[in-house]
Amino acid sequence: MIKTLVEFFPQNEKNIIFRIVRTPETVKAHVLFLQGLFEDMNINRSAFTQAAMLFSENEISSIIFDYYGTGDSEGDIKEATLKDWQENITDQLLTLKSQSDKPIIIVAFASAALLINDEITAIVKHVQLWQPQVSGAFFIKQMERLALLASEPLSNNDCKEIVGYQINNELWCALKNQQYTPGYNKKKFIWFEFVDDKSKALMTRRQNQINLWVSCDDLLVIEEEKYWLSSNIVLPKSFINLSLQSILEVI
Amino acid sequence: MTDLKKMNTQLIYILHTIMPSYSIDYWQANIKLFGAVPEFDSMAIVTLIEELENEFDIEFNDEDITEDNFLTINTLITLIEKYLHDKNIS
Repeated sequence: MIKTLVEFFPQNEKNIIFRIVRTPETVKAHVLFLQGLFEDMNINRSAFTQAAMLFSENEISSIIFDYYGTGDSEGDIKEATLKDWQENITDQLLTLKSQSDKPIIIVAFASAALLINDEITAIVKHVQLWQPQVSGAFFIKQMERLALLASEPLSNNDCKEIVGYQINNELWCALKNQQYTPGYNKKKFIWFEFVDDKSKALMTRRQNQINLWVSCDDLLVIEEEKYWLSSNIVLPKSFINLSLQSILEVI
Repeated sequence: MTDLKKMNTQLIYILHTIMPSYSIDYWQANIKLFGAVPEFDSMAIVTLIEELENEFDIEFNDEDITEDNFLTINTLITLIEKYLHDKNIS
């Protein structure tokens, strides 16, 4: 029997977030899913739900949540900061840690990797990165390209509007400058990279990013096909199984 | 396979993964993109740009991100060729 709880997670007056907690009868580990930022969040939704359900069947509890000011969480994205979103993560991790002695694992999709810092890494046992974007500068560049294509000139005002997202300057600059590398915690990370041909070397830019985050043993190259359906990424079942196997190996 | 043909195949494969409702055969017969394919919106283009940059190890300049360059498969191939040429001579 899997208990699914839909709740608002109380932290302080400002940072109340919406989350879905799936808890199997017996729990041997906890997974906190980190959704991608802005449009990435729509892309990962169904893949995360699919993974959460599979994890529950394998005695792993999970939490999927919306960052402050996004989705069903409280607040306005115009006021959200990078620090708010990182606190959303650490507050939940610390609460989990205070309630359970089971290992905690993070599964982060795409731009969610930009939120990871030493504090978060220190609390968890393992971090799985799914095709992560670890360069804040590149992520912001993609956002600028979206604005360019939508013929939306970016203003220098307090808030930039890009395809419906209103992003304040503080968040914009913080994301742009985000270039975290895990350092001594490198061993906690595993990186899943999708490629269309496994025999082909990864492109230099991507390989350089990977080298900063994981040792070569902790890079898993996935040759299977990933698809976007509307705005949702569709990942093969075998990949979700691989993600589960990787968690079961470390707990 | 010539470089051009290989590039065409790579591009069609990427388009197919981004817009799976269109088969590889569709892209082989239809070269029009911007304005002709409803799903080919700004989000799809930005995804395509990232995939192309990873695939060909290039980086597009902002001034090249225009409707004209993304109008057809051929205009896109011309653009990629330009970047690969610049990369090879630098």
